[in-house]
Amino acid sequence: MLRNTLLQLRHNLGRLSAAGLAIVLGVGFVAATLVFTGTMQASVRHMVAAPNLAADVVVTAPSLRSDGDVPQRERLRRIRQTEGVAAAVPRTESYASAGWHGERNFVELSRLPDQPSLRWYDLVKGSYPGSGNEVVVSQRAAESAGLEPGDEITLSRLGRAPSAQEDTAEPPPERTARISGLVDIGGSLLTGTSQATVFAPGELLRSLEATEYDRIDLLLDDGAETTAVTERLKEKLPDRYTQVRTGRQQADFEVERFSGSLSTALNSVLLPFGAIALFVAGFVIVNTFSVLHAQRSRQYALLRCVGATRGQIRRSALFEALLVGLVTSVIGTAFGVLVSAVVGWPLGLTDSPVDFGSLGVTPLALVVPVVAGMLVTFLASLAPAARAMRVSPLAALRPVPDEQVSRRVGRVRLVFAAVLTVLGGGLLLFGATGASLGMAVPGGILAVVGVLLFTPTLIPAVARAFGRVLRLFGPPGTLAGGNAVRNPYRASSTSTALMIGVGLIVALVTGTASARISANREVDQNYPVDVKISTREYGGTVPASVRQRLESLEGTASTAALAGTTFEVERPEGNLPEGVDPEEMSSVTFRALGIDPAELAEVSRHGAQQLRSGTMLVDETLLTPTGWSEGDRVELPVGDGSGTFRVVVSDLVDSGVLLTRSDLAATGVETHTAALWARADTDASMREYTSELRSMERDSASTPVNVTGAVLTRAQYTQVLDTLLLIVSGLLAVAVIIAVVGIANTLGLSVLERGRESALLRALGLTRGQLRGTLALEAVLLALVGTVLGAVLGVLFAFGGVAALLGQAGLPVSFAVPWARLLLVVACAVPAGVLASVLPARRAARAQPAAALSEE
Amino acid sequence: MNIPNGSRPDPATREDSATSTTSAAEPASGYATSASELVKVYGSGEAGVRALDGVDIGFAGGRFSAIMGPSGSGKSTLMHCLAGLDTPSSGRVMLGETDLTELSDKQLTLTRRDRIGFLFQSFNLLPTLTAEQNILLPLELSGREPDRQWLDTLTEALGIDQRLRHRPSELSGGQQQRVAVARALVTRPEVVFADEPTGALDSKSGANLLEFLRGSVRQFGQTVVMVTHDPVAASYADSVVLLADGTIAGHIDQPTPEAVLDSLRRLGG
Repeated sequence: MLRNTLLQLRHNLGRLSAAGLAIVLGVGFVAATLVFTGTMQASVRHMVAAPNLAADVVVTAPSLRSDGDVPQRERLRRIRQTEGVAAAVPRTESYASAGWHGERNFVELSRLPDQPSLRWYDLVKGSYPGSGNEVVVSQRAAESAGLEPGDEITLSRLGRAPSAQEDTAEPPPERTARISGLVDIGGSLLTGTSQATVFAPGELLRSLEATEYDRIDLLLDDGAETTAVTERLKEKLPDRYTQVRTGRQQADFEVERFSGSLSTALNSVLLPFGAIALFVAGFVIVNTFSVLHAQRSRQYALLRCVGATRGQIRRSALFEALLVGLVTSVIGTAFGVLVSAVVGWPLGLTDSPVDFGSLGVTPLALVVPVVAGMLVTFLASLAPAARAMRVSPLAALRPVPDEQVSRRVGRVRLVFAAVLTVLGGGLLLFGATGASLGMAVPGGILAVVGVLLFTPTLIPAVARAFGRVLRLFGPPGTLAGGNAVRNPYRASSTSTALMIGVGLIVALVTGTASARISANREVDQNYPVDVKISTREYGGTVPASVRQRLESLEGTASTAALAGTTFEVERPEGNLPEGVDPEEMSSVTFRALGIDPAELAEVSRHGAQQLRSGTMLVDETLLTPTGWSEGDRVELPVGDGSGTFRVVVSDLVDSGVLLTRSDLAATGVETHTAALWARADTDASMREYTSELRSMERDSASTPVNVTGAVLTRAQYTQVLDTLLLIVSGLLAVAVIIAVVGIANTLGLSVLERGRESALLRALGLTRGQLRGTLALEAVLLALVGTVLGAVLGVLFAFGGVAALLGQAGLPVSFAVPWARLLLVVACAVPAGVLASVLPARRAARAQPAAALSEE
Repeated sequence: MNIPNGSRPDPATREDSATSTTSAAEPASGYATSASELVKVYGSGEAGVRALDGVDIGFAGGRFSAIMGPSGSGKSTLMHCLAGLDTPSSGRVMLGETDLTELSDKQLTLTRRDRIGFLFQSFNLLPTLTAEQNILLPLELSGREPDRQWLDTLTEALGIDQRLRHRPSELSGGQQQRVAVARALVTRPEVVFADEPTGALDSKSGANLLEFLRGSVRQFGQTVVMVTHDPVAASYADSVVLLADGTIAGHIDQPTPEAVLDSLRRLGG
């Protein structure tokens, strides 16, 4: 029996090729995903571990400046006095603004230890600093910025310096430093490579007031026992927040923290798409085995005649499936590894922070896809094998094989499908109107299962309706229409595979289109002003050049310049975040802007009437630190009592407060042009307008400004949604490709079955071209049915999902049907179908007319 | 089966039916279908089989001719070549004035479609089309308007006029073969080639079919060439050509089953 199975398998190898291709693609996707995340993890491991391995022992404490009751200096002193500790270097790390080539840049500022062994990076150019005003810079970023050893850069830390609490207006100190060398720090996942890391000697950091650190790197004396020293350190630093780890332990800890969650997240995002691809491949496999077993029914009957039991036939069929699954899955896994290597190769050459050059092929990445592929093949072959088993020994004795009778769809199945669809659809609708994801999600799943059970009835019915249109194409059209639905189960599983892929893509496209509209409405609601430009530093004046540029920018409808100043009020007692020193945060500083109500009405989309004389529009987040609440009358610290206003919380302000221009002037404080607000034309091209705004932000180097507002926020949402859509569509494309392979498969197998018919048609005068046309039309029909049904269902399910999701999130619910994209998807079905028919049609056209006359 | 008294509107091919019978002599123009020095080799080299080994033959128009011979005598191959279904290794095949061996695949297809009718042993109807669609398929393929009157004449004569809306699976074997006959005749082909047309029928249905074919020759002047191994079927023909080992082994005019059987025995012995 086993030998017979193998012989049969060899005989039918060609017929299995499409199903094999489907499995290879699906399994390959899973394998590529796992290898990709494995690569990512290995590379992250290397990247995150490297900075930790130089130190023998690492002490970390979460608080920046105090350690419970052990002050910072005292802690450092205790560590240094511990027996066996040779050196203890605080690893000072902060973000800084660095200036070169007339631009301000955001850099990471890190301490360069005096001890060479603590420098975990390699010097690749120049030398290490010889004096207190020299620094080394990370190589890749420096080179892309055109920085060389010998160049000078200016450095200043970001934010208020800890020592400058009393006078908030004073900017942090700025120093000029000379680059003495470049170091290779490898990739850094967090900063990428475009952002530079500047390593500066402690001396320079102190003068920049950049002295915050949360870890101390330790070197031990030669011969000191690491475990003993760690124990002693733990004794000396009894605080529960302080951690003492060896460098290796610290590396493992950080790797776990970063890459553990990273690859879990990646896998959980990517693997469902692999599952979808495999699921779709399952349909192709079911079809293949169904046809294969149908073709072999005479052989099976013969085997039954000579004494094979049903069980033996069944086992033979299942063994065959397992074998096919094993071979194709192994090929698929190899293919997946190859793909990730090919994709990774150019990525490895780029500046990507992840080292894609070396593949992270784990045993798991090899075993999981093979097992998954075999499982899918096995499961998909169960039903066809059960049918193969049912063949009666008598069938072998019939002279002419029975004309394939289309099996009727079981009534039980239809009832079951109807119940599931109605129940699921009802739940989905209920969840959608009631804004409950908890109901919509199971409802959607039930409805999908119901619809899938319906497909053997639904798809042939739709195909018949479409097939009528095909008659316009003459005899080839009529023939194609009839052939497509000859075997309802085969037609339906072929189109269902495509329906799933297309349905998911369409649901996604519709979902994002709807989400975009909802997001835009939400943005308009929360950001009444389209464009807000303000100086980055409190107390700065927006340059006149910026104002001119904004006013002359095409798409700007109106602008207003706002007067502004900074106020500082007492923080009420008991209103501090936990663990914060009351000494340090005794006051709240915020910005106050002034604008004429008439001007405000010009530049804001709504809410302008909130601003009246005597009221103060307040950003909601300011209420907690100040202890104010809506309707309070509060006094601003101007001294003469003229600064008493009624608090109104408003979306018009993103931070601080907004007064009328005259009220602000009446307080007598000195003001300057602190912000520009503008309203954009609704028909302004968002993309160009936002890129102009962003370039304004970049170009204003002398006085750094921030650009915010509805226009930018909307652009951000749009970009995020578009990117998401692109990526997910790309991932789903694998499933669609498999489905198209499935169409080619069904067609190819049907062509084999209809060999005599093709020959007959050729004998009767159908030209080769017409025969190929018949096949192409049949494929297009199957593709169109799958695509159209997928599109319809996708839109419906997307509406349900969007309503439930946005409703639950408390966002406005809007529906949008992206007609253009839908049409594009449907239009793609035609070339896809034609493409799928190419190989089967070639085979069919080879049929010799004479074959129609000869008996088997 | 009744043959109605309609006459075939285009009796162009029957001019020599009175004078010429099937001939093994030099084929000349004037035959409805003929072959000269026809050789067909399957395979190549040592393994090559000469299915036809220099056959010269012509079939006159308006006659019912049969080709007979033992298994492997090359009778089917001869018919395939005459009907333009198969291309000969060498020699010439004429359909009327047309040399089929000079035609491209496309021209050959169009020739088959417009000028030749086929009858097969297994009825070879397309399962997805109704009986009427099956009958009209060759006309539709060539984009010609069906002659309704001719269709009605045929289907009534064949007794299938009430079954035209049915699909093949809903028809009996005899009915299916009669649909196939209607399909073969509906284009008014110059020649109808029939390959064992009664092979899958019971003897009564078979006799009916042969009566009809003979009737179509008499009434409409149709030319029919039939391959068969059944002496009784062959006896319906006006003449029989005997084939053995790829060459013409004789011919019988006005055959009876006994005469045919006798000739076959002599060939076999």
